[in-house]
Amino acid sequence: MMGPSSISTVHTPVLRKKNTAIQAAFLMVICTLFSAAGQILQKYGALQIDFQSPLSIVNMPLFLGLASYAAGAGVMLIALKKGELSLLFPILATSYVWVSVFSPLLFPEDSMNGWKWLGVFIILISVSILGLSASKVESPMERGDAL
Amino acid sequence: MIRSRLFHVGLFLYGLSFVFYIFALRKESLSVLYPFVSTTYIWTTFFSIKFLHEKMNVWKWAGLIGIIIGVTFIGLGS
Repeated sequence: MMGPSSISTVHTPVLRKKNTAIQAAFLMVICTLFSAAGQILQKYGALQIDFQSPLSIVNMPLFLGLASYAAGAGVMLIALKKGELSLLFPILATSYVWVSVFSPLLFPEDSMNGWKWLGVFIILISVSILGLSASKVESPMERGDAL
Repeated sequence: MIRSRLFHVGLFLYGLSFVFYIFALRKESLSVLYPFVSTTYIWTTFFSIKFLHEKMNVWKWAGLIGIIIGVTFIGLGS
């Protein structure tokens, strides 16, 4: 990925830097919707695997989970072209928020509690901080020229 | 990009982590595994600095540390 994508580096005007960084951060949040759906489907799929019958590993939820992951990875690749990995990648943690909130609704053994809500709250604040840092970013394209 | 060797290696590593993840999911509930999966963000940050020569700033560190704390709380609640 580093190779060809680095060749196509575009010299972005200063005013557009902020927008691209924010767009990239937003795309990462979209990506987390796909990966959260993927994780939940994987859980369904994993539950269907029975080691007595190895073919059970080919099941629909697992396949759909993979497909959702692939879609999320596609969105992430677009985002990564627009910004820095060290800023964008941690935004993926937003998927913890989706999964924590939806998992208890779908799996009887999961439930929400104070710790989990606190964790969800802290993650949301932290991802917001990363988003804010994208809006005052000085760097993503600064080193783009050197690539 | 599709033909890039590094891209293929990246896909392969993703696939490998998926296999480990599925086996872990069978043994534990999704929420318990979370804090462990979140260590990915630490590795990614270090690799971004070392190999992609990205620069960190106070906001990024704050966000990163916050996320790890948040994920750990979710684990604690599990």
